[in-house]
Amino acid sequence: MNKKAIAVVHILFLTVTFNSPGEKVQYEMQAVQDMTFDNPFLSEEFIRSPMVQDRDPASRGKSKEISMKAYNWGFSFSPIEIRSEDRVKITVESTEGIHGLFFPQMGINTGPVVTDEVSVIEFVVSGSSDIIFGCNIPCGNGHYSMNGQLRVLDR
Amino acid sequence: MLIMSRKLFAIMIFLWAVVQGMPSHPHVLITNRLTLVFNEQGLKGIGVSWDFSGVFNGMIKQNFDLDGNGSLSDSEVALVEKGAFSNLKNFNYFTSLEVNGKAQQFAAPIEFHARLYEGQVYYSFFIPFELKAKRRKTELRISMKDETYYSEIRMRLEEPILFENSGSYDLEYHIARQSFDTVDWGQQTGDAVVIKFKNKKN
Repeated sequence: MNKKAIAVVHILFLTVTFNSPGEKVQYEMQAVQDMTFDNPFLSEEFIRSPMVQDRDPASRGKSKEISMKAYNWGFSFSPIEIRSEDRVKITVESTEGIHGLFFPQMGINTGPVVTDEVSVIEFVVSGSSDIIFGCNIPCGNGHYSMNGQLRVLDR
Repeated sequence: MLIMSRKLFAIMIFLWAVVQGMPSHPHVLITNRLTLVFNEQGLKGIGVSWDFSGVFNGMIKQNFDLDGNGSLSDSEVALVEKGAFSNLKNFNYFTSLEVNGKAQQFAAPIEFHARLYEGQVYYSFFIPFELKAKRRKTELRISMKDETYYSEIRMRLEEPILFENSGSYDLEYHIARQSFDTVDWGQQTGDAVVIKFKNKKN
């Protein structure tokens, strides 16, 4: 094998095994979204209903309100950083196209948000974690690149 | 040497393209154990235990461990049953039963339970299915397969089949590999358990 072929093998190996951080998040988003869509275990009711955890507000952390714009193809606010037990209220406005804000690991979403309209989603997350969010409405070529991170930090 | 390196280059590109295009199914691997429960008449039903792999565990934990304590309370198990199990009725709970070669209907599972332990999810449920024992052998074939190929179900390697209250019966079983058609993923293979039983001679 000559040196050129050896170099090509090395480049291919690096291409396949090492992705950029953006590609890694995109892959994770696809993997987690795939776990929700077309999943025979999940009932239709579970997939479609936004889930708002109903707990005693007195045991809550602080309230955090975020304005998010969705457009072709991205979200205006990422990463979102909150503390565990904060009550988060995200107002999503679509400035271009029809999108949705979707947290697949939490099973909550805004439903479709039409251009120049808003939708609100509220939730509480316990425990520190990094949670992926994305768009759950097929919105075009850049659909899978619409993703971001919600970082939940310890109190 | 130059011709060899061009051939090698083409092979490498082809292999890389194949790897990039590889299908992503199944998403869930389920390790299955069956417990056949008998009574004085014969078979009473089939206990099913499923251990789940990977991302499914994370999905259950994120969506159903509402208090985030790493385990499922009774109310959380009820939510799992409603949100991440009951829909399997549309897929016959991935189960098909044959008695002496004839397909059988069965009642919906009962006694569903889910457990979350050290990040791993376990399901168990009981399929009521009465089958009277006779003097001649009765053959029961249990196939567990997901025809959507979202999941792949394999029998556990250690003690895949257990028997309860079976002292009055002569039993034999084996696990067979079977092919089945999936909706979008062509023909796949899975495990089928074949059990033969009859009354013991007095």
